Amino acid sequence: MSVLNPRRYLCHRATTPIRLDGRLDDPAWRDAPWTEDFVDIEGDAKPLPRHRTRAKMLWDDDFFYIGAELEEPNVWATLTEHDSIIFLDNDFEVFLDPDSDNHLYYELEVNALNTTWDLLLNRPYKDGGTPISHWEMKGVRTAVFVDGTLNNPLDTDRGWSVEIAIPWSAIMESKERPDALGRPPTPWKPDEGTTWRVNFSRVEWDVEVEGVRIRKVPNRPEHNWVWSPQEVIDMHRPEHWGYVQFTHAEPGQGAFVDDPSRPARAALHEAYYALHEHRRIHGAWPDSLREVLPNPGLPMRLHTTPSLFEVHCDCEYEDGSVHRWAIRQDALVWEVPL
Amino acid sequence: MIATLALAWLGTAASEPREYLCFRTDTAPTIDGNLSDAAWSRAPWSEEFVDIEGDRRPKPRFRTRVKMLWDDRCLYIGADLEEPHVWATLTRRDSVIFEDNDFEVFLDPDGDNHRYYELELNANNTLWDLLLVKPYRDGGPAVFHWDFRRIRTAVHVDGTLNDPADTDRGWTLEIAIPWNDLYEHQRQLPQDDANPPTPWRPQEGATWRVNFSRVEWDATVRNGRYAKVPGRPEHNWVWSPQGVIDMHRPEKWGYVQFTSKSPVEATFVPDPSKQARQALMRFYELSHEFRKRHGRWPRSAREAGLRDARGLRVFITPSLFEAQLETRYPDGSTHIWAVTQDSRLFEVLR
Repeated sequence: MSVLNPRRYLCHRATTPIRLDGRLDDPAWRDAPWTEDFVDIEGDAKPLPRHRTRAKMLWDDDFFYIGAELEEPNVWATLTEHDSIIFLDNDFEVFLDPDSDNHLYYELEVNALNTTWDLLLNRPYKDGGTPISHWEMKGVRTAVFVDGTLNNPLDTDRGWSVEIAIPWSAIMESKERPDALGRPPTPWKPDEGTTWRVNFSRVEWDVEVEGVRIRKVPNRPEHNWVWSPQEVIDMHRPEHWGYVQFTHAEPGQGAFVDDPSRPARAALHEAYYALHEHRRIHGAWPDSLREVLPNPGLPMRLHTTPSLFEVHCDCEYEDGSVHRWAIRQDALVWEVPL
Repeated sequence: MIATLALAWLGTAASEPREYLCFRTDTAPTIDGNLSDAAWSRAPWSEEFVDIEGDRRPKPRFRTRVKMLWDDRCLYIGADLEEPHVWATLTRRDSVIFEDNDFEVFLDPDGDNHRYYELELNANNTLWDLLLVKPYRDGGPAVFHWDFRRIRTAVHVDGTLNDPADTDRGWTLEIAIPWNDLYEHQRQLPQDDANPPTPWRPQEGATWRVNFSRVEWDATVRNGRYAKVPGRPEHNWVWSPQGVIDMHRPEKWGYVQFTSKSPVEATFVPDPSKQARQALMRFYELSHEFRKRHGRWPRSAREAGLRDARGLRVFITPSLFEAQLETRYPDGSTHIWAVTQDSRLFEVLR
């Protein structure tokens, strides 16, 4: 049986304005619950991160707000140019897949200098995706507060915090489509219960002090600490990202409604990885799913062409209705109308 | 039904994509909208633009033509639009520019019908730039928040802008697109975030699919100002005719081939996969029509109604298809080309 058990977060409305200054001291933040403390990207297989990271989320008619707190004894950053490869510094990263289909998702990285990199992926790298780096998250506002001193190794810092406000109008590619004439879609915002796939990642490099400078220890890979564990060192597997559900309920009220398609998604992703592994070894898809997955979690049906496949999985929801979900060779997930 | 199909055939088979040999220039043109730079004198004019539907429609009432050049840094485009009444209203970047009269550029550097660029420019030199992940017919989306980062554009009005009291000669424009603005088509695409692509430029003989379109509205004068005639659709005049009123069929765009050779030495080398591509795209169109009627994909070229594509192999699943066609190049080598249900064209590597 496959493991696909992403984190869940109920995102409440911000009832009072949030001042974007990097400090999470606005009254609105007080009532928003913290996420779980971040864990290693590989999950339980690895030790817990040595510094705590956690996040909060809120929303209103105009913005999706993210606040993050990163414990850090040595706050440093070097990159100042927008759309640099920010994770070459320590950073905080946001991943958003609004329609939970593994395609057309958003990435935003910010360092302690408040320098950002925003990009759109048409599909994951493993599926031949293109990083659309010249895409801009139009209207996004970010702010960083350093609780200590930036780039000063002579003292011990407490950490840094980040505030991000993403306008709904910046997220249009994976939702409303333009009309046939190519006119842009109108802005939108979530309804009660709208659920996005979201993950946060913190990249942390081992550093050493050289004189009055902080520098990376050469030849050490980075640490990746995340909210919802990815199981492997790859953020670009949206199926592992957490569920963020938007609600009008007051903080402390309301209940997260679980994704009824989760068992089907788990089975389909297990099939997807098994089929790709078979092709990697044998150069072709197998004739049947049984060859690569003798004991699937749910019954599934495989259809192939030389370069494409789709797998269908019927899944019974709690209300007794049956839904058919599907995955393709490029990881796109969708519901097949019955 | 047969009549409809026959018409569809005419529409698809009537015209061949245009071809243009794009020469390298030692001196970059000054981007001021004026095509008087010495560099441009070396570049041939394209064919005059025709109606987007091709020969079925009358010739445009005003002449439009373009030139292209390239160097290590940029692709240069120059256009000349005859126009007795030059007008423009939009001034904000990323407005829907074709609501004004405009000039439009479409670029598909790898000719796969996916991930292509569009830019539109009006006589105010206001720009709309976007990237299409796939054509609209295949679900898109259009990425409106995509930007050419360091593009330079300029417009020169030969006459007076927004002044209906006189008759203008037209407007000319120049566009310089740095190769690195086409980040998504760097030859060495990154495998992950950590390996960004290196700067690039086309190699000798590289061939892109490119088209240009000019949107022209019927206009009148009202209260001393230009105004669109209400209720009239726009005219679409293009370099390489699309056959239908839809620019978002990259398979119809022209071929632009980059060369460092001199105009005397260089010749355009036709795309050896052209016939295979055209047969596959006809199958693509017929398959989608078939699915609309029958609720499923055709299982063969014959079932799709494609009769002149011997050797076309069809593979289907409930929502996907892949058609493959073996083709022989002039050098005698054989290649297999394929199209999928989302109109992506690719060579099957053996």
